[in-house]
Amino acid sequence: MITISKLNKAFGDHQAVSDLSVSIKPGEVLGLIGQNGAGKTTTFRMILNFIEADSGSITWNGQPLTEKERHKIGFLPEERGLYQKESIEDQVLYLAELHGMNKAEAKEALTDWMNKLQVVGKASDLVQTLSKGNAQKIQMILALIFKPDFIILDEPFSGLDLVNAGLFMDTIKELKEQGAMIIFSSHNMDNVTEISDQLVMLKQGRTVLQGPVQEIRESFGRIRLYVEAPDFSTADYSAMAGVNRVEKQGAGYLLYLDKEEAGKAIFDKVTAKGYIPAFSQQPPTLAEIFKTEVASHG
Amino acid sequence: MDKQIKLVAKHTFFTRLKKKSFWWVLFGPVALIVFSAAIGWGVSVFSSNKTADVAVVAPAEVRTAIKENQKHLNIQVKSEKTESSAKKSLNKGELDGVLIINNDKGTILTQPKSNSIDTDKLKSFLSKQILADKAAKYNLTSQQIADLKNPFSLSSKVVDKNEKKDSEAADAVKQILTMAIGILVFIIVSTYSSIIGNEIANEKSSRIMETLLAASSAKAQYFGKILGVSYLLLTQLVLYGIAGGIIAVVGQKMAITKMVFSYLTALTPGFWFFTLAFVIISTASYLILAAIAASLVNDQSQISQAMTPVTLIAMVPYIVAISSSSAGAGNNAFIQVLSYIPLMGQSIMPSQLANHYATWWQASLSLVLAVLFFAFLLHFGLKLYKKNVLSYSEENISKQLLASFLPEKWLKRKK
Repeated sequence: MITISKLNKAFGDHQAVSDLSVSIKPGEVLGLIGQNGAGKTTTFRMILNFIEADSGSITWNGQPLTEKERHKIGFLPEERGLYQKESIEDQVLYLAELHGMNKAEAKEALTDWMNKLQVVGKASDLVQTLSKGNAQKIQMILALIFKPDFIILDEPFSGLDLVNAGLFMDTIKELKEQGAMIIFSSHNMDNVTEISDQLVMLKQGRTVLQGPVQEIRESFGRIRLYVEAPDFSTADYSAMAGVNRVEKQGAGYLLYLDKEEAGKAIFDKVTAKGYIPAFSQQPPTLAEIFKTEVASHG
Repeated sequence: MDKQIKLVAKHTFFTRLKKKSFWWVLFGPVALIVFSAAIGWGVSVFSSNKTADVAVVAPAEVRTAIKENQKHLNIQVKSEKTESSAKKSLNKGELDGVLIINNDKGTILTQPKSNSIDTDKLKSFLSKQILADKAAKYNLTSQQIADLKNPFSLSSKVVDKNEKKDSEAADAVKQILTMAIGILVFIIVSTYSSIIGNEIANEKSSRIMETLLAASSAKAQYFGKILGVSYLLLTQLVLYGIAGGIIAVVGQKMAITKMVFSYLTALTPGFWFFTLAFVIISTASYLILAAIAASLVNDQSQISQAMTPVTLIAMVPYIVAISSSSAGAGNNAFIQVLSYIPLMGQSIMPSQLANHYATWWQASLSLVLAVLFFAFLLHFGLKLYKKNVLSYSEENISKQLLASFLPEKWLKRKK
């Protein structure tokens, strides 16, 4: 288990990370969200010892992270970078060897990973000939080829199309099933919701939300109501008690409620004449919570 | 040695070895020497080296004596009856010179396109000739005249009880070596500083540094790169050594080979040990400086800016080595002080040693200082490398480099 306790880091007068405490168990995925500059990358850099924390601790199974253990962390940096004039094979094998892997074993694993992530091209191709998406897949292979127990992925889905993002999601889920501890950051809240067991939201270095994703969503109440009811217009919904905002969405309407309890009265009204095709009262999405938290002061 | 350092060194070495630029580094100096030799040969072939035609307006006995020795004097004596006709021929370009002698005084007239006339040789010959004429007038015997004409012999020899062989090495050899060492060290330092600088700048600008540091450590990257580039230097030196050995065996009877080897063997193995030690230590120190400077760049375009301070520092001993190659310059107090300063001494101390401006213990002291400075720089450089390698600043590189050497507390206070 990785335990981060009361981690702090300041750059001059700017507090980049403030009192961050979180733990990740084997087979668990932690999503780290926040605006640009919220402290996500700084947190990753402290775990990897690229920068030193001002205070706090990071332990692996209760023991402080040593240099040797740090090399067992699979890391996909936000700033993608590869040796452009080297072949895929040369640089993957070099980095796998640096992570302590045997060259022959790494060569075999590279073929498997290239197939798995559907990399277009051969291992002997120069990196500069790869498309952005394929280069990103190679970067992902570099982070995972040596079967790390702890994986840090900084914005793994950025720049990927839906199919490739899906491939990465499946890979993360698979690694989770195999017992890896995974921490990742993303601006795509759908992906975060889908694969995260727990979530930490940072705002200006401070932790503003923390816990299992569903629990966080539920803590805001079921204030998001989707209704498909004939004969009801935007004006009708807006006039109902407890409705804050109404948006037309597809065949129905999305209502934002003051509080969860308002839902029952709305249900009674829209079903007064009998059957309606859809009535779904949900907690706010992660994206909505994110926007609300970002907009809130303090 | 740490396995990761070895891996980084191996990767740096083989990556560079595969690049054309390294082979340019290897063959560039050889091509330069061949090119310079070809130009020298071309100049000597095409330059006019004819015997000068000289009219001699002088008493008959002097004129006859000059004519008898014209081959030795490298002139062709032409018959002109009068001074004015000789001058007319000179103006027309038909003669290279007119030698007019009146009693003890002589004048040589030439024109702009004249072939060269060795006036020193001519003066020496005429002095002896006039001395012989005067001696004859005093009724001296031919034996006495020959004795009078015998020149005074002055040979140059430096007496140094410590190193007989180096003391006897010719001044010309020492001057050539002084210059050659300065140039060689400068070429090595600027070439290999640029290689390590480009290596680090490439990794920073391609943003692969975080991936590398996650797989290894700043320490492994820093030491590995320095070691990898040192392997390249070693490869170059070994290949030159092998080439030198082959040339020595194949061309042992060639005059140029004999001359070069006489230069190289004019000084003792001790001297060569010191020189080699200085070159290795100083190059390693410059590699560290280059690594520190390159760790500050944001992208490849800033590398020449980052390398400028390193090249400027390397220029100082280079200029000093060139200017101190002239006889007596090594006695200058400024040069003597510089010969003890790390990053400077490598180009100056070997020549000070060869020219006997420094003793062996003074050279040893300079070498010890260079080694201590290297050890300090190696340790300090790691800290700076670790601090800078992941930071991307828009600030001027020279300012950042300077700030890197200042203590953090001092910088905070300044802010």
